[in-house]
Amino acid sequence: MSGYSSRLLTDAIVAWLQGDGVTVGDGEKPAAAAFPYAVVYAFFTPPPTGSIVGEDSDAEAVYRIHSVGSTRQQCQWLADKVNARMRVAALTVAGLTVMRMSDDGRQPGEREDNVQPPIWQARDQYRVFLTTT
Amino acid sequence: MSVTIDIRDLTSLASSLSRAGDKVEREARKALDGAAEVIRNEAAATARSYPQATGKLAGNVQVTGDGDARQVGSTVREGWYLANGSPNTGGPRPWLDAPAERGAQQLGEELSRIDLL
Repeated sequence: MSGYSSRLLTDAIVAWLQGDGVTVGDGEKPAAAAFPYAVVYAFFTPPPTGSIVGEDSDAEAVYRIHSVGSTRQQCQWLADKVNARMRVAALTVAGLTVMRMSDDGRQPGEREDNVQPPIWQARDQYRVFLTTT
Repeated sequence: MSVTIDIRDLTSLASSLSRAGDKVEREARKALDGAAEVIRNEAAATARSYPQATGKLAGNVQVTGDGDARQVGSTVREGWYLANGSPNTGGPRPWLDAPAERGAQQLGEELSRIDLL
């Protein structure tokens, strides 16, 4: 495999959402966490695939993005905003071309009572299809 | 928290099954059972590797189903919390999703081979 940097890909996704005005935490709650905010988690990457000219040149990266709000409205508003942004494959990342980004399933917002005051959290999954360059 | 792998989804295999009969079907079922077991073992090992996990989940990953489909999952609540994240367990962890994708991909490759029999 020619390889790609998962670090740069995650950086690009965080920046992509921030570019739309979203407060984003990188794998954790953002430092200045006023509601609503999103948290990006690099979830996993299935084994790469490819063609006869580049057996491992195509890859997928699965991300979980949690949208957190103090109310259901706030949480789902942010989740929808993230969803619209994450279906546009316009990321620029050194060493790879993003072919497509897709909605991989959504949990549309649940009240989380393990913290006080309770928060609302939508847990959505996205898949980035890429090929190395 | 469970995933389902289902050989009925593979239309090329389905047509192959109808043409080639028992041998292909036996091979396909064997591949399905093998994949389910691989997913179960990997999911249990992954769950065991997390410091937040209690071991209860790792001991409770089960394969269920018969015929053309198998389900791999667990009824332990910890499985849901690990997979989805929580204030107590931290971010989401793919203890089941990642093994399931790998296993399903390998199953697809094995079924492609069987399709040629």
